[in-house]
Amino acid sequence: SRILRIFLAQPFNVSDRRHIQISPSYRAPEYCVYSQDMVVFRFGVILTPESSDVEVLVLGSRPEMGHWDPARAVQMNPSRPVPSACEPCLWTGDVHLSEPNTDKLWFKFIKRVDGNYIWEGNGPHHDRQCVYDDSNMVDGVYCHPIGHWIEETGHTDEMKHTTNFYFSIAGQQAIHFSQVLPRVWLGSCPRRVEHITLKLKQELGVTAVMNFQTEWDVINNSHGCRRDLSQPMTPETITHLYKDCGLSYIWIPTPDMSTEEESRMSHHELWALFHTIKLILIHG
Amino acid sequence: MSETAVRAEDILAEIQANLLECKVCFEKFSIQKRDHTARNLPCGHVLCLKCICALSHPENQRLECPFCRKPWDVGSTSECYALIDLQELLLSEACPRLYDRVMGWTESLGSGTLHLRSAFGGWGTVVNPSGMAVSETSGKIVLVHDGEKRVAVFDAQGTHLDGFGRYGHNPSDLCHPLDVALTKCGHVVVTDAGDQSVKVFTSQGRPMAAIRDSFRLPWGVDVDARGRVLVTDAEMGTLSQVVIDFSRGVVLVTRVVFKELRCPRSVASCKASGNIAVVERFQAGFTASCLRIFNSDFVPLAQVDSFALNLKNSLSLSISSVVFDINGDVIVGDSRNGMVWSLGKPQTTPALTPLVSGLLRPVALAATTMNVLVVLDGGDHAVKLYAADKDDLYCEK
Repeated sequence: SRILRIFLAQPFNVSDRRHIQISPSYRAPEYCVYSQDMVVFRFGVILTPESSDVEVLVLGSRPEMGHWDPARAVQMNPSRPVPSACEPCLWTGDVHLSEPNTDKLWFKFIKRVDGNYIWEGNGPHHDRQCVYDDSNMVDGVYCHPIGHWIEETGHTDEMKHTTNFYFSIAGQQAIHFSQVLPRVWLGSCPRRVEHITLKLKQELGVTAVMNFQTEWDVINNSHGCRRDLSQPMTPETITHLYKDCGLSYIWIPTPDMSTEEESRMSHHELWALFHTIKLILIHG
Repeated sequence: MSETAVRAEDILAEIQANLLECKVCFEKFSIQKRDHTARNLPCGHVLCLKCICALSHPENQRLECPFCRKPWDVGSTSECYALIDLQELLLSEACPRLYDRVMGWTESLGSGTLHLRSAFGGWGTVVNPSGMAVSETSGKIVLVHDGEKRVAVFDAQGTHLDGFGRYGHNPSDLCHPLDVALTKCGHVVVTDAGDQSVKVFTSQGRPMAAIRDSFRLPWGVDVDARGRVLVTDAEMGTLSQVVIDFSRGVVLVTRVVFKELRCPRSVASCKASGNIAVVERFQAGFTASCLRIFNSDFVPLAQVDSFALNLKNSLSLSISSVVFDINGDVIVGDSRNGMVWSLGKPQTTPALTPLVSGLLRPVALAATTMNVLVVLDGGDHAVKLYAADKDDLYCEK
């Protein structure tokens, strides 16, 4: 299935993770003197925590970011109250940087598990650089582009984590989805008939589906969507199932890692796509 | 552990009102003003000096105690040192000044948002949950989801205790469960939309009974105070009542009690009043919703639709779930705004009070006997517990 990168704008939930205790990630805001010359810098990192008790902090060269002393690192907040060890989660943290704040700064993300600090990468050559770019200013906040956790090897192992996450979904024969816009959901492929007939159609109220699976994907991952298990699985099985349920369906098979040229859609498909979006809007 | 923690300020107010004022003239006893000092009568009752003089006979200087009518000499009264000392203590610097400290908005009980006490679950442990029930007796939290074992049982601290019901169409399986309810004895009732049936299990997960051929899209389920099962059918637009003999595992009666509902989903029954609430979701626009409230005889009491709420409050709600709290107030989950609201008493004009915000998609609600609000968030696969008093956070139950 196609790997799409999307900045999932999730609400900043500062809340408990452990039962009966306030989450260690929660830190009451410090009061300091704000001046017009201070700018809020927002950093974000995506990682799959070992457990829901892991704390994530950002540590950097600036004094406001701890000056490389882990004890003074800036605490980050998970975007959901119960981070799962099976699913990547986004952590964000804000730092107020006083003037001058356009100079290059270096930083790393660190984890704290049971009082022990785990640093990204394995040395200063894996430090992250923040080079000021005016286009990163969003509503008065400098939003440094979100990164993925750098493992000890120096790589983000994004592929490995994505694959692990994918296998955890496949192993459960489950469907995973998130609401990215008020009328748009993004998720993994359906693996059971009920995912389409009940979960998508009835529970979520979806009226149109865009599928990027290749033919191979459809046959190998969505074969559970057959009403009659004695029949062989084909892409038409899915098409007919959506039609039976009264859902609009567009199939745009896109191989992984395909370039822009390769994934270009035909005029007909493009028209059908826009037509679908209109349908999504009307029925929403 | 007392549920209603009596605060120091309340006790101080009581002392001021009941002990430190004269019960005849209702003036505060005063250390400075001579004629308002507290004086004992030999019978034990206390008056201020002014009242003693007012009540005593001008010639023979005798008076009757206004409380017990015993006759005494004015000369036999004495200073009430106990109350004088108490008053001095309250006026001293060491004591928190009454009425000087204004209650913060987030501290005042009974208004504003509830506090998150704890949360558990997360993707993997919980997979796309759709329904939840909390046991009155044991406090266990039971939910239905798309995991390997479709029914998952947790304790109130979030420890996973048990699970049963695999994917399939056998009597012990669950195809696509949508909601779950518990009886007083711990039996588990599940609506299986994938199998078009309502299934009953023992608390251990052994299949007991199943109702087939009566439903097309069984959705919401709840058990009323008398142990009768209520089920909504989103396709047939009905609310049904099922009477089951749980001891023998026999279905006695299945009858439709209300028809022509528009895609009814979540149903809740009030243990106190017997009222029943049903959430309807309209096919045309999936975010439009309506809440219908009936009494125990299924006579319609009230109807709250999103258009009316929008007119009155300039707010669009998408009601996804409903529950009654211990006072009989109607509590709804709102998936559009990620919030939980209280609508107040069923037959009054709905007054929107926000209880919880910051949710993704509240799919089920429950109220425990300890007045904790339990929210099942389908968006991040987590169970979240909210309470009014933040102090409870540090107490073991």
